Amino acid sequence: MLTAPVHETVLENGLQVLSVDRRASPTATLQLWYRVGSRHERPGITGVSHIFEHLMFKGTSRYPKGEFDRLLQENGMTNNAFTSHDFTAYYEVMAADRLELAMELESDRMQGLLLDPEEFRAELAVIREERRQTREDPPFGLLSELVDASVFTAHPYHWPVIGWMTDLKTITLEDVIRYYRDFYRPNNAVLVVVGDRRAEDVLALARRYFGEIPRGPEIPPVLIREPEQLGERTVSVHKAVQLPGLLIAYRAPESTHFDATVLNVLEFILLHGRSSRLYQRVIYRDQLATDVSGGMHTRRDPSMFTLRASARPGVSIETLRDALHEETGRLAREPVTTVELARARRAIEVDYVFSQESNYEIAQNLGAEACRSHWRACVESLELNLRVTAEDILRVAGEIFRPTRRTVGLLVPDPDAPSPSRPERSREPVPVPVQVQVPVEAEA
Amino acid sequence: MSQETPTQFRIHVERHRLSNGLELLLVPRRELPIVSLTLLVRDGIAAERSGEAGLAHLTAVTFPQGTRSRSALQLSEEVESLGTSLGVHADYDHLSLGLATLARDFDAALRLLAEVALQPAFADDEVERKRRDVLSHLERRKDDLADRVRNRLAGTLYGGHPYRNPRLGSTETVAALAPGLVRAFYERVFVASRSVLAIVGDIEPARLIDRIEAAFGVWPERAAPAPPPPPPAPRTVRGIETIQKRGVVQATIRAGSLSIARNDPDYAALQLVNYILGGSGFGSRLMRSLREERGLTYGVYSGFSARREAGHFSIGLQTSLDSAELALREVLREVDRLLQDGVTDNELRWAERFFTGSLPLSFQTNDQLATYLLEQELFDLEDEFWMRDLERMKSLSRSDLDAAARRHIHPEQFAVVVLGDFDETTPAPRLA
Repeated sequence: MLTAPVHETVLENGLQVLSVDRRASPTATLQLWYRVGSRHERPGITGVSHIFEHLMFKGTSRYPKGEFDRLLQENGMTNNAFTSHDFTAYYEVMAADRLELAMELESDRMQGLLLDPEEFRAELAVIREERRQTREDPPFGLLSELVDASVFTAHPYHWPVIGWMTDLKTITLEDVIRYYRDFYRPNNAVLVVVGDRRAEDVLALARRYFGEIPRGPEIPPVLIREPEQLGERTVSVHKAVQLPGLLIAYRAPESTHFDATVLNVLEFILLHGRSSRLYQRVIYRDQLATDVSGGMHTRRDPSMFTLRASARPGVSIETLRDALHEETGRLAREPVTTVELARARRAIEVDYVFSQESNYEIAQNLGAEACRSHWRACVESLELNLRVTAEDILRVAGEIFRPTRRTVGLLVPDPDAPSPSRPERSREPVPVPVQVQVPVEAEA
Repeated sequence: MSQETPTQFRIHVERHRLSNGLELLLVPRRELPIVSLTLLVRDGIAAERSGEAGLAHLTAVTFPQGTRSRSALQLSEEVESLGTSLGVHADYDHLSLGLATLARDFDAALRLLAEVALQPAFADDEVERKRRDVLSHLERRKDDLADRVRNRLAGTLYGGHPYRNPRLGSTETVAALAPGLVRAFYERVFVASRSVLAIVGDIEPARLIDRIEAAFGVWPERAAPAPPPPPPAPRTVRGIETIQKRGVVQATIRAGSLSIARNDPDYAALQLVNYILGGSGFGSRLMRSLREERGLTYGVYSGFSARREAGHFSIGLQTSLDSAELALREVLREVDRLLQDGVTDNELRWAERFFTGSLPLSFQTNDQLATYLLEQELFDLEDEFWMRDLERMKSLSRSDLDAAARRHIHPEQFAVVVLGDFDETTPAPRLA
């Protein structure tokens, strides 16, 4: 139910090309998605997908470092990249007449990347700072890693996308080069263009710039499945924070499973808006939490549904936890009301229509679904969501919100808690004593 | 590559003024069956009086807590039955209320927005509830390192001016706010003749005026609030302050000085200067020096705050505790280099082309468009200022940029704030 059709072509070398011709503004977004993320990593090189995302900006023989940025600037293009569990993607947002430049730059770095040892070392230092800034200092950063590591004991969703700090010190350039050779291939990529360009133009440019790149070996599938969870798991992180925090994760199905859609609707009823159940219960009525958030983690393999909250000053973490358990338990016992379901459906419809406002968001949804299952999933998602009934929600809540499927993460304020990683005395990559990662790895 | 991107970005705006002085900006955009409504009043945090820090925010977040005819829950249910939620925001020079809905729900959205804006209940128990919410948010924010550093810097730069007030206020000021102050603040700043209602989306302007008049025409006349005090005199010396925070692994640094108002004629030149120094992400001088060459930080950015009176210029970053002094030194070195040697021809050309080329990207969504229109109103900018700014940029030379930078960036007056867990082995950085 997109407002414009999606054109799909698969080139001979396996590159999947998706385009949507939209005339709403004279702009376009190009996104190049690689079907590789932390899901394809192994212990010792965790974080390599994300490291690689950084290295993709280091230049090629045709466009040396700095030239890439300069060309984008000069053309008024904005760009960036992101890495997730299931994929890595690179994008340019531009006036539609600059599309060819974006095509050329992306095709050039699919194959021609220069990987200099000095650049590599310097970039690892940047990524360690990124890890400190985004995972180690924010109150919930390490707790959420610990919860992931506890929910997923065997599956690669176990480790964080950014990687363990020790791996960010010991990974080698050879590891990274092997990774590039294996995964950065046209047959492992999806090229998405949304904007004011005709599908024929997009395809012609895609053939010109990507058509000659040879197909690589097929990527072996990730077959590992997380074993059944047999009991409630409780983990905690002590940290010098002001307020206790709570992160509860329930095992949930993969994105293609209908129950994942049911959980999406349930998420609206539980968490979206001031009329939602958890806002009303723990913020408005009982005033137990400063905030509550969470929802379905949509992933290729079975994943989780999470709830996250901070307790107010003077409220115990157990009181807040019990209130959240009570509300999820209620969903498993009593059907949601007609009014609640109607409100959720309307919000999903409105979100869907507003998501059609931006080329970027359309491309983002197509690319993510193409990597997880099939791009058609995002075309069908609205209809599928609207089909969810109160009975579906009751059934799925009954199956998912069970103590034995649950991991409870506690953030415990402790002014004397040790720092996760003290400053590096040397810029050399040195093996790090085990204690550095204790809060995370002890539970891993 | 072609350089044919349209630099003409015209927006068809229909302007009207209701009898009570409320200004209407109506922009039809028909691509999708959606519409965004934003009501902006031209006073915000800067209208807080002494001891009232946090009152603008408390007022904004109390709007959803009910109207004369609906309780908090009834109002939320009514708004959210349209698949949307009420947006409220308090900024330094404005307050805003907004709803974005499907076009078929326009009438209901318009009525609800008017009801919230003109008949807020501000019941004592609901104000008290929100006050407790804000106090608990303030407690949580003590762990938001960048926020703490930003607030401390503003406190140092703005002296006694209300621009120093943190957006949420402080634990001390919010704890002391009496419930009656919310209504008093509302009556002080919610003045029809100082307000703008922007409606962007799938609308037919001619058919809306009567309906808007019916919804918003009942807004009573009120006197405009007293203007805020003039901004404080700039500092005359450089100084550094440290915030000790246990358990953190990075130093959070921000350095800045008072600078221009948003409607200063040098604004366009300074946008280019800032782009070159630290406003352009990976390509900026600061990012190249601190991230690319030295691996000191994940990101370093500079920027000017847009304010009606004097704003400020600042540079912020996070780095390992033991790199703080080196990183700060490099930041100051880049600022000095900019002021001494100026920008290069190439930098000027690339920056100007970036702004020209990226203009179409700024007008993709209804909300983006409304933001530009409201910025124009809020700061009394020229009509279609985004195009006037581009014309100005094209006419600027290197020496124009260098002169503007020297006029408005003052490292000798920089206040520097550093937060971290410092001790004898890893001492807090000092200024050379």
